[in-house]
Amino acid sequence: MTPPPPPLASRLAALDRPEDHPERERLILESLSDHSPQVREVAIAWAARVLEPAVLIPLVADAGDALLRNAALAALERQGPYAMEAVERAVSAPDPDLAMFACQVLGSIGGSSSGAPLLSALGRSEVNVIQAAAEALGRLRWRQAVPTLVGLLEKEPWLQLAAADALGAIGDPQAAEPLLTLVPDTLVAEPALEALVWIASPEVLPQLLTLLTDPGNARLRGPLLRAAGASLGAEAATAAGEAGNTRHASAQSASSARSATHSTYDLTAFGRVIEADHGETSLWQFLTERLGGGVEPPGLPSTHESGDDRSQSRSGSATLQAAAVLVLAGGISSLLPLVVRWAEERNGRAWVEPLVRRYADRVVSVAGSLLAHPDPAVRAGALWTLPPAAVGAGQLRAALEDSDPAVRVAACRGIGVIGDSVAAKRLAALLDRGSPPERAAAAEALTRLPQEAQLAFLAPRLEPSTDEAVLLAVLAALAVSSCPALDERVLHLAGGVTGQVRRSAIRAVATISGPRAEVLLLRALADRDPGLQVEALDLLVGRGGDRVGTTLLAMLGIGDSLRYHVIRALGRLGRAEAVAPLETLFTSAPLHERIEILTALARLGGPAAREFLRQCLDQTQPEIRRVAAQGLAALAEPEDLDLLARLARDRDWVLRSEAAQALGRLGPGRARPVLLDLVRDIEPAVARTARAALAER
Amino acid sequence: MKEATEADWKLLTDLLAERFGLTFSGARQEILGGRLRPRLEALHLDGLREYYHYLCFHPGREEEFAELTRRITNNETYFFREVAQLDAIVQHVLPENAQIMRERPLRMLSAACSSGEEPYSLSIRLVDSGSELMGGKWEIDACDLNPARLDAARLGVYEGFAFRNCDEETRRRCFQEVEPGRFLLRERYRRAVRFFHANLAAPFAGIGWGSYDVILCRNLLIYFAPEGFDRLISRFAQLLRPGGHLFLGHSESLFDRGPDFEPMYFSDCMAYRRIGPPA
Repeated sequence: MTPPPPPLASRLAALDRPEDHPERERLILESLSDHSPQVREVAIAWAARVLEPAVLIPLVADAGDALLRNAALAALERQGPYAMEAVERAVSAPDPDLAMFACQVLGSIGGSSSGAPLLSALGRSEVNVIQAAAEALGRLRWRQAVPTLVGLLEKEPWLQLAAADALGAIGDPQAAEPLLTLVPDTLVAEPALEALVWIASPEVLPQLLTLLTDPGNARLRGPLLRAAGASLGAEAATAAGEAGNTRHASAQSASSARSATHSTYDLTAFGRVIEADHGETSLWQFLTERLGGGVEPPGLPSTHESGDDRSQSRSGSATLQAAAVLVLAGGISSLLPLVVRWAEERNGRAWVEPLVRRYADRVVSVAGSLLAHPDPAVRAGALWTLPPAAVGAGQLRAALEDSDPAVRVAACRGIGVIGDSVAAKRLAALLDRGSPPERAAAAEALTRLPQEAQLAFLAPRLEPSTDEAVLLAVLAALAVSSCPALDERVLHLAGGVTGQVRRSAIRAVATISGPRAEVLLLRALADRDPGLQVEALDLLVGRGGDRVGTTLLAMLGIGDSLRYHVIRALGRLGRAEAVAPLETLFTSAPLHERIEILTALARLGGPAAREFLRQCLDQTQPEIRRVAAQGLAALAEPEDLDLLARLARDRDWVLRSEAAQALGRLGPGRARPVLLDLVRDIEPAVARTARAALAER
Repeated sequence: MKEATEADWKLLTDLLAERFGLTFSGARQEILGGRLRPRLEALHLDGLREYYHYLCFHPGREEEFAELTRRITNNETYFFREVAQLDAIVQHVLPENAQIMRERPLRMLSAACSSGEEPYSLSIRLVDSGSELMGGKWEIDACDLNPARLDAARLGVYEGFAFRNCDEETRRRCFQEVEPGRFLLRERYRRAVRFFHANLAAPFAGIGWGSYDVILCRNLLIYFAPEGFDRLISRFAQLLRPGGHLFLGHSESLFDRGPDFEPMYFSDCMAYRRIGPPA
């Protein structure tokens, strides 16, 4: 009879730092197939740390023990670049399972040297291996594989699918035409279109639009629309509004820009085809629904079920933006209101504005009807997106009288842009009696008008007796764009009665140059409101100035709660003379201040600060050592490799992580062995940092 | 604001796991980052590492933990959520405990009750069951980590989304409209629930052992790290008398999670029974 396994706690304890255990390899290997996931997880971390890839790879070939195989794969993946060469060799193993798993592992850990073995695996006869190799090449975005992957598009569906995904991930326009041959009549039509979204090639736009208008392809309308939208450069707008939202945004932006400038396809003809049929199952109706129109009331697309991508519309889903770019490019005027309506609120504006700018002629030509539209969201959206000069002062002034506050807010902004003094009186009325957004918009517009208008309408509203809501709105606007004609009044308000007025006033004061403003900000450091003191400190640091450093150094002697912020401010100010006083304060300061002193010293840099940080590595308090290491790592230069190697061997994982971070930043070849050791660190956060550092080379 | 490193995230999320038992990884980490950003700005801090230092070492750290609690807890709840479990309590647990309820109140705990919709839904079902008319006694305790949500629960005023699973008849009968679109739960349902503050992940949560006959803890465990999950289940095993029932969310399971509970199947839902000799 088999004896029962020891309890979980004993098994975990046995794995606790097995470095010194005489049978550590056997212990780790046994634990890799332990029935408890907790034990396996610890064993995988140790296996990645101490077992060589040559020991782990044969375990992957063990078909009899799935737990062991998966654990070995996980350990190899954790080893990352350390295991890469050995795994690359395993790709050509005769055992197809081993070759397949090796391809999968390379997909996540591979580098530039992995492309060639993976490419040769595409020539094998086993479908599973070819599929895994294709997927891995896609994940590595190995462009040289494109012709071979294109060849796979003619094979069986599993391989077509893997190749389409990989080609989409690589994003090479060469693949666009071959992918299009899979649309619409194959099992992989949809994945092929998704790949075309990523490729975003303008060359296939005419075919995509033809397919889109064919009623027989109704089931593929979503992916067709996205692919066409990508080809038209919808993602360029996405990149402007939501940076970093795509898999390979830079490649797409380049491709999109190309499409926006070089496309000669007659899109207005396409637009006329769409306008010709408004039937229930028409493409016009489909676009209407994608844009959040149709039966639901305006502005409520977010109430849709989560499976419907209209529910994501407010954050700018790919389908919505593709529909918008198609409407604009095709000049489909009946749908333009649904596009500009999205610009009524901030998130929508981020992606609608660049699109409207690109196709401004289409929108300007129907500006009158958009501004007279019964839906206020359309009127507001039009005002936000159309160039104010194209709208004209008359229309903007009329919009200030609109029944809807959102339209009036948008009109204020337009008036400010064109600097229309005639509207100043109406702006002042909105400032006095409007809703909070109207007050803010009116105040901002007034700051942009000529000086006479500022003096006539803003100056009287900067009196201490002014209604506080109005006063705060004006001060907030002046904190964004200063008006020298009003400086005297603003300086006077810095001593206001309420905390809110003083806070808003010092923000505006910070935009005023000269010693009087600086004195007022320094005085605010002693304000009775602690929050305002900290804000004044921030504003002072932001504007710099001779007196600030001296004052802050003097304040180090005050032992109240503001000193914590003063220490931080001295670091940000970057004045070298602060190093010695900060070091002096260190010994007597409480722990939270000592941490800030070290952080400040790291910002200040210089030999004295570095030496002080180095000495702190010998302290017993763990957090002091951590912050010192963080500072040293941030200041490290290529000649500090020995120091970083010492940090990389520390028992504290945070210090090892700082070393990995710094080595990644410095990137000297000599650091590779240190990073390859850290890549197998028992602490996953350190291992991932080291892996990212190696990938940055 | 400084971009967070792997180490920054680990330090902070380990601290949260230790303090609250909550785990933040993947998309939840992004959500956490989004919720913390305004707070970091308000504190004039330049990144997660500085916030971690603030939480660990600043004299104002306890107040900051209270503030953090308000930001990281998920307050998603509504009346009669997973109503089949409430029905199972009325139709199966009450009859099973009819004798006990004549001698002492049947004690129920709504753990992580947020703004009170769950314990009040239970209260409505129990009052409506008429068990008190037949001499049955019961009481409901409800706890949460977030003091602000508990204040809202004690107030008992709800609107819009809280009623998404509550029929019009029940709303009219159990609530009184105090201003347009805002409804106060009637006194007879509110008085049956006692609220208290507790951090279920803390070593001592301020709740006695073996106190309860029924515990509802729904859609909380999904946010816990494995260690926190196991710790909380052990806590429930201590809190429930043998034979008592534990109701979890429909996506939460005790499968392979230790020897203290056995599954119990009702017509439309399931629960876990505390194993042990009957009291």
